[in-house]
Amino acid sequence: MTLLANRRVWDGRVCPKARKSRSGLRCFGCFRIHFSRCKSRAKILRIHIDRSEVEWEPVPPEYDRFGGRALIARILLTEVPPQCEPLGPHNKLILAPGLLGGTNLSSAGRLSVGGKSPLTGGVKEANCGGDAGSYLARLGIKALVVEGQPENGKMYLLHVSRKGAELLPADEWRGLGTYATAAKAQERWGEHCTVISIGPAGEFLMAAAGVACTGYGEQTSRMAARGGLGALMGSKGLKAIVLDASGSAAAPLAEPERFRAAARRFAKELAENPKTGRQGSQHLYGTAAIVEAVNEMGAFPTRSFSAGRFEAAEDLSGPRLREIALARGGKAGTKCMANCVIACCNQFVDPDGRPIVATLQYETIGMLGSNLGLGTLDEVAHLNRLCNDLGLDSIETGAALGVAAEAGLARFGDAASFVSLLDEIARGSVLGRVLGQGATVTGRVLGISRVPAVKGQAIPAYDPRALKGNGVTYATSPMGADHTAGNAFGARNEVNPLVTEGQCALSRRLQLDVTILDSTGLCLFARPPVFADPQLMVDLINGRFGWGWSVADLQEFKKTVLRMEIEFNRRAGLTPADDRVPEYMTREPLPPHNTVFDVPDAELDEVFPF
Amino acid sequence: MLEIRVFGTLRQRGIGPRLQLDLGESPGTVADVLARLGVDPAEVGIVVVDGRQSNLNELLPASCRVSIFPPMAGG
Repeated sequence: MTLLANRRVWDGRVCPKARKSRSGLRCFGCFRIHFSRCKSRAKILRIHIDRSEVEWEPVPPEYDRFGGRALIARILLTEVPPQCEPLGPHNKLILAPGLLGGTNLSSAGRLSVGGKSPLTGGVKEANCGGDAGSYLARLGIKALVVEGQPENGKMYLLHVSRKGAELLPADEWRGLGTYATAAKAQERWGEHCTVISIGPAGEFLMAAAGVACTGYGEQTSRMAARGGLGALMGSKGLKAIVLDASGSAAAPLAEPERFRAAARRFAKELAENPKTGRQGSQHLYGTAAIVEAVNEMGAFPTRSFSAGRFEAAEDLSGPRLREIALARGGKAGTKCMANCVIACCNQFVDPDGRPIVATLQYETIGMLGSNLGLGTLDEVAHLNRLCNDLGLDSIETGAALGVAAEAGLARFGDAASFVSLLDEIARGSVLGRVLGQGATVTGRVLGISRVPAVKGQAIPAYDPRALKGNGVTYATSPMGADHTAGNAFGARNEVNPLVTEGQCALSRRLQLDVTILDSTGLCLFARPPVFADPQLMVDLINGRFGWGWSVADLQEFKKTVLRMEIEFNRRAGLTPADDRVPEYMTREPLPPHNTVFDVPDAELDEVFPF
Repeated sequence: MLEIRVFGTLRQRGIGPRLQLDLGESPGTVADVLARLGVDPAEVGIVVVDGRQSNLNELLPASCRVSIFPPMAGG
């Protein structure tokens, strides 16, 4: 009873973990001394754009056990009418760190951004590296939810720090690129702040627009790129979110010893792994490590998905990228977030050593490189820079530009012709607005039926005709065509990527496994230790929260995430007819293997029997 | 005649990047070829034979292109 009497009331609630100690009131959630408000309990930060107000809300019990992608699905199902207009007042923009965000765990600080997708019309979560996920978690924010629509098209900027959240008018920020937005915000609030922003593409409400974030060190542009979430942020009149986490502590641990032991083991296994360790391809070459392997397997998209092998792939490869970057004074093997033992990032620079883009990645190399017939990293990096600054998804944009080239508006292999199309997007011309809506709209307007997209979202840089497991993921993921939803590349000795057998089971397993990464804030590259031993993930989650989960609970959690997403899509009006790859890929053979995507529809419909 | 191509970090082993290997009519398995090259199978992630993903136990035809990659994964 003595302990009860010592509980401190904060924000109208009792902090159940606060106890009297010699030096003051110590919180046994986060082990800090509190004299005023205990921040060990996370909050939902709601931004009512229509009323220009911010509101801190306790986490409702039904959201408590979700984070990142899972929390986005839960909030969408609970709060957003599935048939709402994605760019209207009833949709919500949600930013959420993963469950393990804000801790000192390696590679766990990814930020999930979500809402109903303006591109697919269904559920959407896109995540990115950088500092934002970690900063939100350290600020005690479980989710930041932006609601309503601004009065008279006003534009705002949100500043969040330990002192609170403030919505500021930002009309004079209109039209700025994401690099200028981040620079201006960091000039005003300090370089220690991380900046989440949209560029002109988001302001134009283009469905190819993503959300850009600054990251650790030289990492100036990380993108939660997919699904048109930049347009959703633009529809809320929100130009940028500035996060200042200075003075904040790491997220509290329910069972510190258990957590720290698991986190140490996790980091050690990553450091010793032949892929992710210091001698591993993924550390040395980043995501670009796989360029030549995908090319050799005949799945590297070339000239708008008309071939699977590109003659200049070696010049686009990870080793070439590293060699050029380092020779010019750029960087390779750096981190996008403060806590990461893998360090897969790079900074690509021009011949004079001036930064162009950080990080140049595999998907961009495929979609803006080989897919457009461009065979130098300088050309790709230049287009990448333009896309990042406009706030465009380089996958969606690369696919749209490929479709435009097929229609004769640009020439494969001619970088200048693609730069001029990006200029159209920057100016917001009618053609630019068509391209900015992504590959599907571009194909429809230009009369091209060979459009690489599923559920309206462009297929990323693995052609599903030569990597059929990814075709199943593209077709059946609730997200639309998304390689990160379950990437079958490299599933060595398990399933032959060119045959139909076994692809659905492989994709299902991968799609389930990925949900836990996306919901904990973990990077895809950090999957080996937790995929090899699910108990390790259970220990991390229990160490953080004390939930007493078992491996069976973890497996159930994965299913729950997909169930929620599929249910949202069903209520939004999506049907099994949407779970298909583009028809031309089922009849147009892809050189060099001359295979088509031929996994039967009936099997696709059985991928998620729940 | 086998056309061997070695990629990524495996090139730091001083092998390749491209070489020809004549092992007659029956060159054996992928593992046999790796042994002849002095490459530890543990350092190999993906082997592609004539564009098709292969595995260590696959028997190679007399004439083919074998591409050897270190362990890697998609991001």
